[in-house]
Amino acid sequence: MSKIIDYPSASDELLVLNAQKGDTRAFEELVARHRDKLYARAFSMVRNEDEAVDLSQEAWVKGWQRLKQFQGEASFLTWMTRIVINLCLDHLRKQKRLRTDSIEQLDEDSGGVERLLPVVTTNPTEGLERAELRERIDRALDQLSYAHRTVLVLHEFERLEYKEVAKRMGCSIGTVMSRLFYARRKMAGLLAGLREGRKP
Amino acid sequence: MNPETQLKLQAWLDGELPPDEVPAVARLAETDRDAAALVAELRHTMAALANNELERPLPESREFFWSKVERGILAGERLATGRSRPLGLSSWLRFLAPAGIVAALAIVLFTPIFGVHRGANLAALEEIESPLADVSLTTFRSESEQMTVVWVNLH
Amino acid sequence: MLGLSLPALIVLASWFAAALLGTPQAWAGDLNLNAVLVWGTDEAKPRDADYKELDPKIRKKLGRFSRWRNYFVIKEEKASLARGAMKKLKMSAKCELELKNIDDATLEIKLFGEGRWTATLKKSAEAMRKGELAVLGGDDKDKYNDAWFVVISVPAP
Repeated sequence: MSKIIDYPSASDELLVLNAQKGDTRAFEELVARHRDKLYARAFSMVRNEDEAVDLSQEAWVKGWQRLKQFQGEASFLTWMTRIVINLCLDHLRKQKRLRTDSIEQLDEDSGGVERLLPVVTTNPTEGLERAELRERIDRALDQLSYAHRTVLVLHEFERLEYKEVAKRMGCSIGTVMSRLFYARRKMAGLLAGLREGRKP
Repeated sequence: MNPETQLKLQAWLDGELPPDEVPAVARLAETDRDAAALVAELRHTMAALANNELERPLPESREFFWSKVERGILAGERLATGRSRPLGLSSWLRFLAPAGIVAALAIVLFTPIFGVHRGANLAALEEIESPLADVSLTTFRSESEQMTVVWVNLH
Repeated sequence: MLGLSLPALIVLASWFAAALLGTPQAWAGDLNLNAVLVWGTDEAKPRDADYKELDPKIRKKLGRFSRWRNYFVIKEEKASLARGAMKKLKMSAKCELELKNIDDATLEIKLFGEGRWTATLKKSAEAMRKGELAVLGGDDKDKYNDAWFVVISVPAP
């Protein structure tokens, strides 16, 4: 470390530069700055606190190991988020395979169930404070299958295009479109149900 | 409305519809009642989700969480620089060459008694790695089945 | 020579010979290996394919960690590696293995997917001789929910 920097007020770019040279204090500052967002992303996907903590911890370790590959093509947080998403996807796939009960059937993917859902005409955000809306969305996310929740998180929250979502989930673009459609329609119904006080 | 049309309406809203299909789908959304209702519902849902992911603080203190990350970093560095490796005969001899022939013979003499593998957990002497940035490896190990599975995850 | 008397040299030479003869690694002989490419799927075997079922013992082991209904052998290859030798096995159009007997103590398995060096697994050769299995696997990119495995083992004598 050749320069003394004020870590808490240093920019992400400066911290990354120093961390790439081996400055763990700089990396610690980056972790402190972005750990909540990374954890929240992991939790959105795996819906388990302990697993989300472990996965975000693993993501930070991987981030350190791969730091020299980071060229600033995206923000540091975006880059780290991609790492934690990949870890969550691996984790979810592994969980799916290690189930002792029968493998979950994703009938919603191809069964056309979404066609049977009645169209929701109310606006789920109307009259709601932002905090309350976020709580409701979070509760509704819990009701989705892992595949539908994942596609929603990647497309709606991470703003990835269909092609990118398909690549990360290891499926076709058509499958992404079907899953996204079903997930959105299910969310609409769940949010409307929550609005009316019905338990999901 | 068939599923293909529904997905086209969605793709149109997401900006992912091929340009030559946009006019027809846009017209349908304006003129067909069912299409318009579906588009309204999708729009409401998309607006509700946009920027409304619940914020969640990591449920561990800064110091505690960092100490775990730091341990992981140090463990990774130890693995990268000081991998345990079963030393074959040639490795022992190369290491001891400067010390002279008698010493080398003495070590060779003792190798069968103090061999690296004797009493060691053979299966533990494993190394796994991938040179690719878009690949991660997950390892499963079963002592009872005497099996190591390395799962290759492509990103 | 070396400042030692002849009797001492004879004793030392005898010990040396005994040491070499007693070292399992030095006289293990060639490392004989079986490599099997396996397709894990819930679907039935295609009617026009003549894939064999996977060996029941290996199938049972794989079944401890994975849950496909069927495991079909796509290809089987053998390799016999002297100390220091390396052999490339083409398991499929997309999958190649490089097996190397590094020093009779370590087996190095390199996996190449579509020409790219994807993963390396190093295993104790002695563990392999004692029945250890080395398995590499991954999602089938072309078929959702299917998987591929490469199972490497030392065949029973």
